[in-house]
Amino acid sequence: MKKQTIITAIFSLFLIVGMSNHAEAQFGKKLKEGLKIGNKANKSGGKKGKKGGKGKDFSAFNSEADELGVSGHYVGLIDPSTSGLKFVKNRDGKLVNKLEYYMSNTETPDMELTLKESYYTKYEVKMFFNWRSASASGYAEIIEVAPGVMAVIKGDRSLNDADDPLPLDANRTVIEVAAKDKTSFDTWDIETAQAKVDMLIGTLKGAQSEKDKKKLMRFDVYKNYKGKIAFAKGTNYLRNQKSLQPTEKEANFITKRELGATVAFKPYFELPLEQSHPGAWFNITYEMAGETTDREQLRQSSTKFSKNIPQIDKDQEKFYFWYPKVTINTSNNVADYAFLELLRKTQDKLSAGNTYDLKVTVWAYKDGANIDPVATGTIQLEYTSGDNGTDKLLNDPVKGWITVLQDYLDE
Amino acid sequence: MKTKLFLFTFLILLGFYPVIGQESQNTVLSKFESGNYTVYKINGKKFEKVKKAWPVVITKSGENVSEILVKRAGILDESFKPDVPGYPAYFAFKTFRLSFIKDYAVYYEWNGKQEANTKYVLVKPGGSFGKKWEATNEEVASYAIATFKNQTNARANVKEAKAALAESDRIANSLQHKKVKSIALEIINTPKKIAHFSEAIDYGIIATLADGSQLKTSNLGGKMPWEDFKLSHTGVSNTIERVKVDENASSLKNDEVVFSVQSVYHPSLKASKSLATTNNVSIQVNQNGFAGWDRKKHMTVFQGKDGQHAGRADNLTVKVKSFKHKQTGATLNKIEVYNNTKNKIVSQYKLTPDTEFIVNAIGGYGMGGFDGDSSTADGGNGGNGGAGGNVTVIKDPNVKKVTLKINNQGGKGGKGGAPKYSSASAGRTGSTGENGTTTTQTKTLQLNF
Repeated sequence: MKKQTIITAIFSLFLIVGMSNHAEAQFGKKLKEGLKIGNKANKSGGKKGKKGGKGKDFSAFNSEADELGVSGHYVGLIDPSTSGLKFVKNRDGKLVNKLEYYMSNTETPDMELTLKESYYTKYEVKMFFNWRSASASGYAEIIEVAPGVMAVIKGDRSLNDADDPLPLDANRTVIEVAAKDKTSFDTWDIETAQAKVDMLIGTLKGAQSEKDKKKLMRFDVYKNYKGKIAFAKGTNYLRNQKSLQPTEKEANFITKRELGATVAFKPYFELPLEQSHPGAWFNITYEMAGETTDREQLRQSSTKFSKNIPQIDKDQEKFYFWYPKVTINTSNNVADYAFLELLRKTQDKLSAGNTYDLKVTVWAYKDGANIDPVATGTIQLEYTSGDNGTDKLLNDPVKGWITVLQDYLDE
Repeated sequence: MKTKLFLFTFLILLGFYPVIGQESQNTVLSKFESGNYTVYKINGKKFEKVKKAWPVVITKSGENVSEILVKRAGILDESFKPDVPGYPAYFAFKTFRLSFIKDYAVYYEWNGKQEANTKYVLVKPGGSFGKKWEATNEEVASYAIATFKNQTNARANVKEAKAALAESDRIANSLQHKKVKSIALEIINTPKKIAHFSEAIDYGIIATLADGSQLKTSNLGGKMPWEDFKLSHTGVSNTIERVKVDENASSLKNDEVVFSVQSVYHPSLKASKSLATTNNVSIQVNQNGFAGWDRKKHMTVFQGKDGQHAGRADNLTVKVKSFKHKQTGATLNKIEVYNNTKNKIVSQYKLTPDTEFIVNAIGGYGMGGFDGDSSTADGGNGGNGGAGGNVTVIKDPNVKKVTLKINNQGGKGGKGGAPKYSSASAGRTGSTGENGTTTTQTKTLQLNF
């Protein structure tokens, strides 16, 4: 009896595993199909349709009354098989704005994509999307690049919100072009469609950026500090958890600090760098007591500096640095070598009891030159006296910041 | 003779080559005209001719090329602008670049490593292209890098033009060369509390000219440069636009913060404004022992399975003396914290008797022991907590009230690590550090701040 039960259980288990594998295989196939117009028809060796290309004839869709003008019979560029698109505005008395994608037959759609309404109503961009699974590979998107020409797109992000397409800052790659008329392919190849998609996304991004800025202006920190740099005693005072929500407290910002102690700083920009200076990255300069050091210049000056001063080529799409920078951070012994070099250069000019203005400038940097400052700020640094004052912090024979840099440069 | 001629020709060519290679795009483009360009796109790493030619429109402004309009596939307008107008190395559209070399233009991307990634080659109408992709990348990159070096003068010109524009803007808004009647300070936000660690105070400057018109600093809606003024604030940071009250009371001698500005161009013109301090922001001073996991920052440690012991807190003396606020006459306390272990003054504050002042001299927390593993199944012991600091509070006989809280308990021990197997033993939890002692004395004090 026992033996029989075990055998039955094992058999059932095999059956379940087999079924689920089959279901997965079907689903996976559909996903791939979703990203390639007409792929299935091509594989199945369908006959040449009336409008050219292999597969079913969807030319009846051309006569669909469709206010977007996207319904019709399409042929793929890379995969020259046919497929049909049908725009459905209302269904069962409800506004749905769906794009039905037909491939295997003319009756039942193989996929249904959703129109991103606001992009169409505000900017006339016809973008349709579908999340078949939460992973990036489960995303399908179609954008009309010209009347009767569609770009099929894949993305590089996984699902965040099924009601929304891929975010605008994600990478979109055109993998196929489909057109009602094959002669369109004389003009529309993958690269041209990609260029048009990039242009359309650029328009949407510009509009999004305005909206983002409006949101940011609700926060006093951004309102008061755009174009400026905020300083604090530690990076923790300048961090925030959510994008576009600079919740850091201005009360924790400082304007004066002991020279040699931790100073964290965060620049806030009027516009993201990729918009104000496309193709540029960031550079930082420090000025104090008549001397200036420049991160990029130092990077070019020696391999030692080059190794220790990384390029700041992130956050170009943001209104502020996501991770604050530091001149010196005593809690983890991290410092910006450009700031240490400034200390080394000015050491003979600095003396106890005096206070010095440190001007920090964040630049848009391109082709070996600082183009424009994008944020500036000044903090006063006080050279404290006493056994544990600034002199010890900078010139301690073992751990002093200047000592450490000098030893490294003398190696 | 033939060898000499060859050598001579070779040297001439060698001498000429870099010059040709470093010509600016303005010079190179003198040999180009608008028209329908044959396009080669990159497919894998090979060039492939595109069916349709792309119209290219070259627009000049005097000797310089001001724009290259590429009509991609004849339908998409891409407007390329010179990187440095007087001496361009390339024309830019978004992140794409276009450089004309010999009889073709390279359409490419550029990265931070000074490398080109060619996307297309646009050949003069009727021409053809047979170079390899890698060679094209190298050619355009070496052209661009060489031209960047030659851009020094042009860049300087651009910089100069920008500086001239900024200077004319400065002069228009500066007090320099203007007849000025007066200057005045305006506090933009007066916080309810003016004390150590209180909110920042924003201020601006208004200058009234002889003709009655006014110039204002940027935070008051004007463009008057801050460089027109010499600042000598006391009790607050000496910074433009926004200041914060000093953290040390020694600079608040008269219990007020004073904003003082002087015109650089009219030194007789001065303005100042003072605000009495309120001394009512609660303060917490931390002189705790280090945590076990930070022990390595203080001494050399050997890290085994057991957690590190924490450090003891420093011993402190807190001195309190009352006095009268020099502006309001209210009673305040001067409070000084002295670190006996390190022999240094930690802080000097002035607070109202009702404002809470917290001193933390808590022992550090021990580090947890590591869990058992296959080599040592037993969990490591937790490190011991550090002892609390001994705090002596000395009050001057004139102190009637001070809201003082001393926290100097010992730090908790770290938890023992879990055993790998049920047969092995868990590590022991580290012991809690001893509490520090708190002694209060009454003694006449001299606090000179």
